[in-house]
Formats: sequence, C-alpha cells, structure tokens
Amino acid sequence: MQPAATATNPLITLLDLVDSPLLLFNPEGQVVFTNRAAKRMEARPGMALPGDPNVRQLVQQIAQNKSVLRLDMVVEVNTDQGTTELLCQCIPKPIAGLVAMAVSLAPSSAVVTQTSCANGAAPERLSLQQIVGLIAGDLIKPIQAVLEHTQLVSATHPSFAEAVQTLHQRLERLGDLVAVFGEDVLIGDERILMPDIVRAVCQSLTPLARAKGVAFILEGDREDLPPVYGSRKLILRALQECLGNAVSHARPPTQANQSAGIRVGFTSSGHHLILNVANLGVLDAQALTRQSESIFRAAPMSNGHETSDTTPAAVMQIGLPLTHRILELHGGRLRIENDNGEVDVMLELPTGAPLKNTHHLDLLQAQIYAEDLSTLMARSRSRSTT
Amino acid sequence: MTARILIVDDQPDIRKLLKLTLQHLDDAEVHEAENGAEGLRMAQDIKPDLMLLDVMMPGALDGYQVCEKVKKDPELGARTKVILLTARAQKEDQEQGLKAGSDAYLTKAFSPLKLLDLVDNMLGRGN
Repeated sequence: MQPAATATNPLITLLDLVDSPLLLFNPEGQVVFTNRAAKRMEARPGMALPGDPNVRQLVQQIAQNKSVLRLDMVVEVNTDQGTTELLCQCIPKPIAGLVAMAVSLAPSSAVVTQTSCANGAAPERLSLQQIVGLIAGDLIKPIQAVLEHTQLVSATHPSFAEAVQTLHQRLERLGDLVAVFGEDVLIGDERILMPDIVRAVCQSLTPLARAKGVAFILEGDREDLPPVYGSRKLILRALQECLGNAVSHARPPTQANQSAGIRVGFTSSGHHLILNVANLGVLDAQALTRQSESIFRAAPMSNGHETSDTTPAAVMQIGLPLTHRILELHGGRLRIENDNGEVDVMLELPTGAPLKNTHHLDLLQAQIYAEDLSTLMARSRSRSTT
Repeated sequence: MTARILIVDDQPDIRKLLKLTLQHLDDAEVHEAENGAEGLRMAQDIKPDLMLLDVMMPGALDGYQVCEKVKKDPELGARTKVILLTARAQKEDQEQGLKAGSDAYLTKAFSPLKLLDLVDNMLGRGN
C-alpha cells in the first residue's frame, strides 16, 4: 500500500508516466511507491525486492548519504514461471528522504558471454553480423587495392574494369543483406528527404538506364514532402534494388526517338510517404516531355558498353527480400500490384520517429526526473505557500 | 501576463510529462497538439509565446518543417519562440534546428529543471 501523501502528489504522477519500472524506498528499505510499469512486471519487484538483504543494505547506505561503490545489482526473484534475474539500478542520492530504483530484466546471456571472454575462453558463438564483420575487415584492404589497380587499366581493359566494379557492388550488396537479416539490426534516425535520395539513385543507375534506353520521370517530388527517419544507407539500397529491377525489366524501345519510361511518383498520405514505381512502357520523346517537367533523362551513351548487371533473376533473388526487409525494419512495406501485365511497385515508409527500442532513453529520463524530484517538490511547496 | 505555451509531440506520455512539468510555471496556459500539421494550425490560431516541438513526428510535417513555417509566418515569426525537443543529439541535428530558425534545442532525456529554466528564459522571466 502506498502512503496517501505520496500517491496524491502530482510529481509522483510523473514517475507513473515513465515507461521504465521504478520503485521508491524509504530509508528502512521498504517500498513506498511502485510506478505503473513496475506493477506490470511479472516478477513483481515491489513485493520481491524489499525482502532481499543486499537491496535493503544498498538502500540504507544511499539513504544515509554514504558513498557506495556500485549502484546496480542483479537480484534473483521467484515468479510463477520460475526464477528471474532483475537488474536494479539506484539513483546515487536520496530524493526527499526516499531512494529511487529503476528495475529491468537482467541481460543474463550478455553476462555469461562477458564472463567467459574475461576468463580467456573463446566466446560461445559469434553472431552472423560478427562473422561478416570479421570477413569484411579481412577483405576491405585487398578489394581497395584491386579497385585502385583497376582504375589504372580501365582505359585499356574496360570489360575487366567493369567486371571488377560489378564484383565490388555485389559484395557491398551482400554486406547490406547480412546487415538487415542479422540478429541485432541497427536502424539509425537520420533525416532522409526521399526526392533527394531518389535522384541520387537515378544518377547511379544512369549507365544501366542508358544502355536500356530508359528515362526516369519523377512526379510529385515537392520540397515540402515529409522526411522519413532511418538508415540512409539501407533506404538507398532498397531504392537501388527497386529501380534497378525496374530498369532491367523495362521493354527496350525499337526506334531511335523513343525511350522506355519509368515513373517514380511521391505521395504523402496520413503518416506515410508512398513511392510508386511504375513502368510506363515505350514513349516517344514528346510524350516523355509531357509526362513531367522534372524529367530525369539518362545521359547520352558514350562508349556503347552495357553493364553486366542486367540479369533479372539475379537482381530479384536478393533484391526483393532485401527491399522487403529494409522497408519492414523502417516500419514500412512493399506492395507489388500487377495490372494487365504492368507491374506497379509501391514503397510505403512511415514518417516520424523510427521504430526502435527506447528503453535506454526511458530509463535515463526516469533517472533524471528522480534526481530532480526533490527540487521540483521544493518549487511546488514554495509556490503553494506564497 | 499569462504565457501561452503549445506542446507539439506525437507521444501522449511525453505530452503529459511536459504538461505536468510546466504546471510549475507561474501564469502559463498550456495547449497540446499531436502532430505537426495540427500544431501549425493551433499556433496560427492561439498565437503562442512558446512552442515545445518534437522533431521526429509522423504526418505531413516534422518538427523542423513546422519550426520553419512558424518562423516564416509574419504573425508568429517574431513573437513565438521555439524549443526543439529531440532524441537526436548530433551536432548536425542541432545545426539543422538552428537553420530551421529554432531558438533552443533540448535533447531527450531532459532535466525538468533545465526545461523550466529554459522556458522561463525564453519567456523573458529569467532570474
């Protein structure tokens, strides 16, 4: 049960809003407040922790303003499902005579790995990402050396240079594939303006588009479109796969004054930004100009060499699941509609904050609030007395 | 004089947390909006003295875009101070905020005391 004074205090309501489980102890080590998140925990920390002698001792030391070496500890508690380990982190100083503690489930597996490494033993198992990281570290230098030498011979051996470049691109793509299918995927919160990134992808696809006689048409690429937040590198990869695939599948024009048109349309709808990639078929030059003023036309052919990256099967085998996964990781989705043989691809990306675990931030916010609690209370008191 | 403060954040819990913190201010009237477009409409309507603006909001406008529009608005530009509130702590993010015309940039997780001091300062009530 919570004392009436604590339960009705509006500042305590603040702690109830925090997503991280929090407890307040009195100097004797008894729990006087449990926030909403802590009450939801199966391990019931408000009931289990006061009974632990180590917790009681730590709380008493903090309440007496004694300096302690460690403010966190792992406590084993019994639940209906068995035994659970809780990580308990205390705020270093008492707040209005009370001791605040943030509680979370202990990352037991991480502790085991750290222990075994510290003992000099080999880690139990490397994650897929770790393995690829090691391979990448091993390969980067020789690949860079090959690329440098390739530049020197590109004029005399263009097909060799192109093959090396393709191999390099494929390795990069494999790296991205592993990055998004690994166990611990990290998505950033970079601010991404999609029209800019689409233009960059169109430019990077210029050699392939030029070889296929394809022109890109951008529609609705207004400056005031909402940005999306996430990993620029991965979004770039998804667009490269998608647009690269559209170019590879475009029907080649039969006449000199024709181009195959690929339209990329931008729409903002509710909380999503939608990119629609559609193959417009073969259009004459006038029709292409009419389609949009913001047309992105591939540069004229200079050396007549076609890139080798045109095998639709090769592109699709990795490209489709990769694009799917990247959009999914950003909270979006890929839709493919087939209307009378014309394929319409929709890439939906949510605007706003990326989907990720904000537990660390919440815990930090809880700690900061707890630290400021006594000063806020004093402000309240002085305001109410004046 | 009563200060009008507008909180714009898509997360209801953060809005509540901010509102409870702002209760410690003297003479303040707090309004809330849950996305950028609504925030901009409300700003044009109530003409706030201060906006607390989340950066990464879903919808047609994110925090930077709202800030830019507020600062370009002939009626709001000069009178409305803007504090951007965000988990994005990189230097370039802060530069982007300044470019959008914000008056201050507060990184989450934030101290309620610092927030109150900053708000007081923005409202010209600093000690």
